[in-house]
Amino acid sequence: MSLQHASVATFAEEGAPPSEAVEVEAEPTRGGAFLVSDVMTPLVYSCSLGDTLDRPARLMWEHDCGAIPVLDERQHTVGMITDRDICMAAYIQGRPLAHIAVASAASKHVYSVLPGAPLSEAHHLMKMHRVRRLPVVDIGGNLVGMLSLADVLRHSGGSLDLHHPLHVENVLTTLADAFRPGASRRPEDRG
Amino acid sequence: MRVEEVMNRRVMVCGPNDSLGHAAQIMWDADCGCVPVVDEGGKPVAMITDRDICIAAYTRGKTLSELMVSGAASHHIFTVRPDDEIATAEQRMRQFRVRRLPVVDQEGKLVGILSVNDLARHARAGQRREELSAEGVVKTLAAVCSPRAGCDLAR
Repeated sequence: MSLQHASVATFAEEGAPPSEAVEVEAEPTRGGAFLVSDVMTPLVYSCSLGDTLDRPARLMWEHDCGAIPVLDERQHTVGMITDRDICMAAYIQGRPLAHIAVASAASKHVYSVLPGAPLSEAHHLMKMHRVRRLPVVDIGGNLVGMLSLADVLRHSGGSLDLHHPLHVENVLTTLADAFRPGASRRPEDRG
Repeated sequence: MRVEEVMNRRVMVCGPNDSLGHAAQIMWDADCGCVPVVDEGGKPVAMITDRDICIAAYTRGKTLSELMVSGAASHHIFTVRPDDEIATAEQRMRQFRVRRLPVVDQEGKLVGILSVNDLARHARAGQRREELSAEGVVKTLAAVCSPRAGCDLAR
């Protein structure tokens, strides 16, 4: 791994830490409905399929995050890697992180959402696939941000309508499902 | 509603002198992301998470079997008692921004673990209990996972 190669996909202001983007209270873009781009973290660190695990681990350590998108040579998002994936690969493969390929540990099933999609659609995807984070990918396949269930949670308080997709009870169901035993297994393991 | 009604009693533990490989094996077998570290008397002295293991593997550059739990685990632990009210546990999670609390008896021995996910599952169960409302759990989660806490439900 070379430090010079530690490219950062920057989509907001250069150098702005990701947390700043979500600390700002977002306003709905139109008609009271939040769009994914209103609440996502626009600055995203990524790694590539050819990297070894020390690179995503370093990004997680430096930027205090738990999931990093994995890009192919065309800069398209082809997977996700979490701190848990790294922990388990280190255990199963029994080698230092610098000797384990990202490709051998990353999840290859990646569900993404468009920046212009309503937040409720992103929430539906998380619920359906039992995932807590979605890479935000534009129509050209470029990674433009990350959306977490926590981002959705922070914008779910306003809805008092029980049938609204972002009512607290609905978000809670997603959460309970995402954390239920076995949810951390890969989709392909779940059958 | 009390902690003992919601907590998980079947908890796998490890010791401070175990290797990180052993802790990771427990997490793999039990499909969990956090294991309490207990001393010889069964008292919790630390908590270790899959994230702690990931970061230790990176900063130390060794295999998990070469690293010890005590060097990677967080020694700041916040506990509750089985007969504490759920509201007390929620308040503690919000205050200290932790998703899990070890439950200890009067002698300080580990008897269970209470996670915010246990609260979510119980709140979802639908009974209209004022002590454990969906809104309350969401507020706790929002506090635990605020950007300043540096967590995004990942842990």
